[in-house]
Amino acid sequence: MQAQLDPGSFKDPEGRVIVHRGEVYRTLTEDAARRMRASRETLEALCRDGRLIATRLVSRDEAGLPAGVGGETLLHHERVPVITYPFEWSFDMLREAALCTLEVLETCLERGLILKDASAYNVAFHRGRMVFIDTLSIDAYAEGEPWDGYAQFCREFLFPLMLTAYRGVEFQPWFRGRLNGLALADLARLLTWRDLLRKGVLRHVVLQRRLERWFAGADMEIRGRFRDIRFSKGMILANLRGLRKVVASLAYRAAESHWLDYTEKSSYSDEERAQKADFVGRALDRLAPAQVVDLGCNIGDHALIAAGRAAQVVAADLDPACVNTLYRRLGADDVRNVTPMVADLLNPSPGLGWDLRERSPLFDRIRSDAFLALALVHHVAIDGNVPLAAFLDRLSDIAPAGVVEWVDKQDGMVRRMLRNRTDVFPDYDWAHFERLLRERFTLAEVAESHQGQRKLCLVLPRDREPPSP
Amino acid sequence: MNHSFRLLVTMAFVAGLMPSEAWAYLDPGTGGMLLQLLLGGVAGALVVIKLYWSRLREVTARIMRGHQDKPEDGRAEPD
Repeated sequence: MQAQLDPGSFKDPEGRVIVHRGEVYRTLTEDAARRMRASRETLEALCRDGRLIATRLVSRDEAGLPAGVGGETLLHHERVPVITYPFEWSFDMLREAALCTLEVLETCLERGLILKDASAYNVAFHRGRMVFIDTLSIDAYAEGEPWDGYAQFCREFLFPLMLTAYRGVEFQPWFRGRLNGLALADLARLLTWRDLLRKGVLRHVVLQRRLERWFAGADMEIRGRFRDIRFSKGMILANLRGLRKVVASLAYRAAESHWLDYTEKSSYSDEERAQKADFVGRALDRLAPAQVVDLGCNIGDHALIAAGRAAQVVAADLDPACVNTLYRRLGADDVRNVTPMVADLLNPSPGLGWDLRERSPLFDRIRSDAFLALALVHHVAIDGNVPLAAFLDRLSDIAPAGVVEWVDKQDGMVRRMLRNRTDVFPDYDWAHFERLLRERFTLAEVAESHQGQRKLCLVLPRDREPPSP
Repeated sequence: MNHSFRLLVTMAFVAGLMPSEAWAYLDPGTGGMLLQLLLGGVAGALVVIKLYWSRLREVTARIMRGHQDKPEDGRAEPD
């Protein structure tokens, strides 16, 4: 089998990420290999603390790589089953990633090392927490050098967090739009006079912005000045501690969320809710999937049911407040096999960055063995005007089987959606939906609720006869 | 209020006196570098003040010269 080069790992000339026989390796130049060997104790300490993804040095023989790929020594990393990007994280997730980065950097500095950069993409959500994954960012620190990652840390962590905490604006679309966080100039314009007194604004936004503007276009050598004044790692550490205080003080301020109180608002009675949970549980028992994706997961009630039955669950919702709540629930209940993410089926993350391959599209990352699409069809078909056939094509591409809920036009929620707009959905009915379902899947079981206005459908791959329960 | 914070406030205030137009290419890391330098104790702050002073002289000289060496397309410096 060919070793596959990760298309997003080209930025660091010292090594590339490759996937070979399902294992993740990082190639190393000779210099980098020497440095990684010298930093072995630090790597081990960071792994022990759970701050660095499980990493070890391996020889090319052990990795069994084909000729011409990598040098004599490589890094082996534990595989992250579902990669999510910072623009798909909720506020608390980005904040924990920021704190993780600062912690790794502090540990490094105490051991005479530093992080070359401070990108949010160097962190991944894995097994219930944020872990550092870019081992090659760890570099030797020489006294008299500044921290090169500071401005990047601001753009990719501090500024997006400030935007949400101070302005109540969700950062995800801004982050995705720019790909690399929020520009200093943009945040400076977005903050108001009142924000000047908030933690970290004067120093990290106003002053940094002022300095940037004063010296814009000035051709001057700054690096050498750090050596002149005997800049030390103690000064970097002082800056880090200040940053940590600011980051830790930032609290999530949700923009208006229509979905957060969905569980209370929704039309389900307690009994119907229990029946739905029971149906989903039984369906997953029958499907026995390794990985489940819950599309439109809200605060994750059904994703948590799936978590008890599958090795890995992806829980996606378009509402950042819901995803943030789910993330907190996962932490509180110590559930480690659910990956929460902010994702909108009507506007999914596309391929982004260089050659459109630096960050891969949503559907390439969340394909699973089973989907849950509960109380979703009306939002896609009626809010989004997506034809039912296209919706089901999308589901069948994401997973070959799963549970999809039909919500009829007579349902209270759909009626509300259609109350003030023209009904341009003559095909939106159960008979049509059922026919389309049967064209793509085997309809194995249907359970009705809400006097037949809602129907839970267990669907199996079409070319397979339903196994006997 | 500690010493360095007072210094920051003063610097931010003085910053308001600078012409605020950016004329040319902006390196997105420069502000961060200078900020670290500024926070690097008294010596660091002095370096930044010195740099600031020479920058101020440069900008003033440019303004005094007027727009005589400005190219026709209105750009002060090549990109």
